[in-house]
Amino acid sequence: MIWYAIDVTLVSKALEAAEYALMEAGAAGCEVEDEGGEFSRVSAYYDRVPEREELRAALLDALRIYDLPSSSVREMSLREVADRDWLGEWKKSWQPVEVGERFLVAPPWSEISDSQGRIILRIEPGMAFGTGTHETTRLCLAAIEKYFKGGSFLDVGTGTGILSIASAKLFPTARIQACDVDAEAIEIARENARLNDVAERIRFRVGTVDETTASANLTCANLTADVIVPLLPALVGVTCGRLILSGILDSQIELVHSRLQELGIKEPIEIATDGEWIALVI
Amino acid sequence: MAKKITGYIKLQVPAGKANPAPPIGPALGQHGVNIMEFCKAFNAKTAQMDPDLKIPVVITVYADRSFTFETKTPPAADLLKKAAGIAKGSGSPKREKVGTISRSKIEEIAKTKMPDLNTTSLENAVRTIEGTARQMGLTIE
Repeated sequence: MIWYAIDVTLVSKALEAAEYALMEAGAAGCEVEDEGGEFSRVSAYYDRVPEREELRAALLDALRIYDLPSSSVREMSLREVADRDWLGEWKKSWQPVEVGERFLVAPPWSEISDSQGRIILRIEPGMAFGTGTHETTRLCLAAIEKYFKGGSFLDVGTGTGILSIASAKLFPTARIQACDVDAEAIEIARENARLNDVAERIRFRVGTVDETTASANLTCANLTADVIVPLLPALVGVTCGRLILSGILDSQIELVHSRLQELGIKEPIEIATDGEWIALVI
Repeated sequence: MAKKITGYIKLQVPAGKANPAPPIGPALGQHGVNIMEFCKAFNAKTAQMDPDLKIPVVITVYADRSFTFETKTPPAADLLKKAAGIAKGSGSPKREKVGTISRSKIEEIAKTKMPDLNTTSLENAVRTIEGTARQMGLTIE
């Protein structure tokens, strides 16, 4: 099957009118390239050859409806788009990634014949709660495998749930609680936990760390510096072992340091970096 | 966590009908975004809407290829057609009227479109929508 794309260059003000016209003419959808300048481009996709005159008439009609001059459209051209397995190609682009010494982060569909002794963490790469391979997540996973000795684990800002899943897989008897202020993230984290057969062992809740949170042997806060700083007293208070702070840019480290000193914590026991990101272990 | 944005993808697709075919497949695929995850989320978000409505959507792509998206308001002409219950606007609105629309409906559409109309004045928004309605051959009553 072949798709047909009509590319229209036009005055940016006429974008809505043009999209309306192209969709009215039977397009399956449009893609807009709009850099915020005077001109933009809209590409409309059709599953049949669109009739040029019909399109022209639809565009002129839409411009009239929107009270815009017909000169708003500058250029129009047709191109063929071969049908491809976009989904399949995209899936191929996601390969399992080794993280730290112990983990292998893999999408749900990848077949792994030999994980070489690594613990496989299945994470659906998707919405913006992380794909499990971001620098800040990698730093946390490396710290967890080093400092978590079992017992209880608290994951503040769980996102995809990857850190809790990793802890649950490291220690099958560990008590794990995970929270996130975003209810959608908690849904996704639960889904990922099911995918890894550890959903029963993690207590998920929407919210943050507060006085009702049970203390933990290891707390991990993979957030951002501006969120970490005001949360520090609560994070320190809830931790009866080690605390991992991640999601801190190297430019923000002083901010976190000075707040830690105010709380009487002189030096972190480890400062790990990955690119411009820093994780502290205290 | 604060993540680097690597690009924006702007699309328009019918409500509840996102699928991996163009434009979604190639547009998201080249950015490495999870095509099915987007389709699922978009369709869930727009499931309650009229399937005839075309929904503009802006997808933000991050450095780790994760994404967020935001749906915008459908084209004013689409909303007017739906509100007036007509299939098509008039080609010559002065001579041929194709339907009627109430002032309150116009105001409702103006309110919906406000965020995308570059105005904070409801009066201006109403005037714009009225103009579009008249040009489509709708009588305002």
